[in-house]
Amino acid sequence: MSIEINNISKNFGSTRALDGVSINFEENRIYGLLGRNGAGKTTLLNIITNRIFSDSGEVLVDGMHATENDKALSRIYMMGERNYYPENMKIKDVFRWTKEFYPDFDMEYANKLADIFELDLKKNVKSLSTGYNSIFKVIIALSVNTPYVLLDEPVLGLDANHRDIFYKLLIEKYSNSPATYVISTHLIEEVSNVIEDVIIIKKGKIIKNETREELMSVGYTVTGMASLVDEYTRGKEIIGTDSIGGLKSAYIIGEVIRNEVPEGLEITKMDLQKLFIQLTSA
Amino acid sequence: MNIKAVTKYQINEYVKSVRIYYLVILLVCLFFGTLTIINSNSTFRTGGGLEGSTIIFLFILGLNSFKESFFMMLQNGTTRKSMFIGRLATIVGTGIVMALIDRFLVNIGGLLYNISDRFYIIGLHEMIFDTRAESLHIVIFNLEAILITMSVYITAMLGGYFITTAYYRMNKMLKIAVSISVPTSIFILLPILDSAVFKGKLSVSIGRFISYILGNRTGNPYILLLTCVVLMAVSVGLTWLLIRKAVEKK
Repeated sequence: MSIEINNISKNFGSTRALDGVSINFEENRIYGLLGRNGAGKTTLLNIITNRIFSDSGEVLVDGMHATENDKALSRIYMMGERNYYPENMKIKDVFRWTKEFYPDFDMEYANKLADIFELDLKKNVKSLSTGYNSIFKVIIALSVNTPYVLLDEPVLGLDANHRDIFYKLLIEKYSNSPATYVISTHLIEEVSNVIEDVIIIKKGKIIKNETREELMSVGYTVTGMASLVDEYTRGKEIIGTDSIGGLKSAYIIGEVIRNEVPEGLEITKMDLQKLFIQLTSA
Repeated sequence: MNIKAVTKYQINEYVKSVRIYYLVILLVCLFFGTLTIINSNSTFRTGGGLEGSTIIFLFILGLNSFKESFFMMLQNGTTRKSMFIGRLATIVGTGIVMALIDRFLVNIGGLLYNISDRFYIIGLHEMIFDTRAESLHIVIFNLEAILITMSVYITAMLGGYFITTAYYRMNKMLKIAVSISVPTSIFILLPILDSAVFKGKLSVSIGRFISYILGNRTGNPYILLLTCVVLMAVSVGLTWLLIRKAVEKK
């Protein structure tokens, strides 16, 4: 049971948006699909959900071809960054129609989430702010109960409180009824605590497809007095540094040898965002 | 397939517009009917006005049947095939229901003539194929009128649906080119060509041809039915070719 993407390529005019992408989204896992603007994340999600067509390659959902296949597509829900719902439709009607198309949509749970987020169901789609536009789609995504849920920039426009609520609800939902969640986002630091697997896409190609633990183990962060950090990191592969006052943090690729670390320095896990920047910078 | 949900959604899209349309028709009839009753010098006359309005309304409804629905269907995991089949079912259903309603209203209007000869309401079918009304039994004539009106209605909606789908698939330049060239050709170039080269014979021939394919020239409604069937088949075929590869364009 998985979404299997085999050798997908897609061009927009002379721009190669996806170049031979092959990945598997396994059952009941949370993936982070990370990439810079224009890397091909949304294009990939749009191809999986049959919104656009690939030039070559195939997408299989639980073994079924996804292209123009109602049965395969009914197993996926995609929350897009852009709004696809009729602008004059009331949110309560959006929920009602979602239930028609996705019979497992949990209306009671959706209403409960609307209360938590303080979403007015009588409002129509076009009257919502950017944040609430994301919220109503997030609510659908969490209530739809399909085996695969694709979230493209789910926290776009959400304030810190709402983002926090969303991450908690996502983990709660995943714990109670596991499904595969693919989260495409720019807010890497926030999402890094939620995701289990990391897929990094750069210029239409998958450059990393590993568990978060595997990916984080390629490096580490060393923090301490700036002079100590500089001395320790000499000759090591540094991918970034942060300084506050006399304190400094350095992000290093390589294996840490604990007994070589001088006193006064603290070793912690690699920062996913720093690693992402390093891997995706030109 | 998702066709049940798709059709239900698309019917729901139409129901509101159809309700408003008949409400407007009712209000217009009440207004002029009241004027006719109050003012003894005035008359209430219409020949095919109701069906003519319905044809225009349904063409516009067809023109508004693609983009919003297409995105909603894509959002809800529906294939293009299902959304197209659902749309055809909706169009056919709407055509049948509105043909029945209009025939009912025309017959009600006809009854008013018995009350006062200042009310003279006849349907489009009676107007174009007047000899049929005399030669056929009233029930057969009404069934024939429903069949022909229904096919015209469906053709109008399919025409609108085809145009809006074609426009969706075109890029900006092509949209501008078509929007300018088609009306220019029909309303400016053709009359100039007709006048300068054909000495008016071209427009006469076109008029005769249109009159023939509408069944007006021969008084045979089944020629109109055949024309509608051909147009429906062409519209359905071309629209499917456009929809099957349509992609999100937001």
